[in-house]
Amino acid sequence: MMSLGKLITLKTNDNEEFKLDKTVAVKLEIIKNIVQDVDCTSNVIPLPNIDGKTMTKVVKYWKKHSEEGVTEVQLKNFDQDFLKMSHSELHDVHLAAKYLDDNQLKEVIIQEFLDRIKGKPIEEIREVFGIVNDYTPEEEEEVRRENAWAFE
Amino acid sequence: MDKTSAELPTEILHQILSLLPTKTAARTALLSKSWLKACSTKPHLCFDISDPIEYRAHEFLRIVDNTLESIFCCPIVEVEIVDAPKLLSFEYVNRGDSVPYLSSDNLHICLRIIEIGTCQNLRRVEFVKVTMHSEMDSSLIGVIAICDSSFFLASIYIVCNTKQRNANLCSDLN
Repeated sequence: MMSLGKLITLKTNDNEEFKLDKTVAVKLEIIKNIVQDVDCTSNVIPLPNIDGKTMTKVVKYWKKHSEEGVTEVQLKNFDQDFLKMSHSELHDVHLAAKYLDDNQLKEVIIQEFLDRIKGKPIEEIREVFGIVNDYTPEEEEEVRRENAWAFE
Repeated sequence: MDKTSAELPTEILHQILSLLPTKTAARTALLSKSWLKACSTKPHLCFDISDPIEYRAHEFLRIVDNTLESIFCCPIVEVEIVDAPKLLSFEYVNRGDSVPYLSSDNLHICLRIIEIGTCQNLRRVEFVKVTMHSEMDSSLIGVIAICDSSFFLASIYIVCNTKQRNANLCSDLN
């Protein structure tokens, strides 16, 4: 990991800076495109849609996944640990991945959302996702009746 | 509660719902109104009879019927029927009169892909009042016909309901 490749600085909307090895950064289509446009002397890429807290997570993910000699098992364990975040943080990382056009990270997050839904009772899903039940009891009854087949 | 714990945008909900089996997805309608909205506008339907948790064989057809009935009025982009040997006919009737989908922007998002897997007994596929892209009619029949050459589809009816077209297409493939 002692590559002497050029460093690229990503700057979030709350002015936090992340220095990344260029070989890591250009894996992202969007960064590659910006890098080609940006003057070589500046090398600072602004990320107006992402805050530092979220970017810390994203960079952590990128770094692990571009580590030399990292094994499948290590990555699996890392992902498992990485995804232990609240629903809203997960959402933020998904938005960031979307902005950065990182399909792999997007998929990982969506899969985590799925895992948090599958096989769980309605009440538990509401809790995990912070969903406020905005039905009146009558409306809820109606939805349940209309979708009765799904609850059998 | 911080602001981002608010509901996920419909786009993400659709993505999540598309990956869930249809029955589980339908259950999430009970979570809240925005989930109900996402469920009823879900662009992809998948029925896989081989998933024993989701469907007991005898209720499979009823589930397909119920699901299609509850979302008839929506622009379904994809319908996928996987391994439904007992399925005899498949009918899609858009009862929504296309009111929310009149803009030309939306015309093309209606019913784009139909995939039908192993349905040896499927004889008839019918689409009524489907909003279709003007270039789509012939390709749609193509898509259905090439899915599985081993099933004997007797007829495909497509009744369009668009401003540009008002044609009944009937094709007998044997």
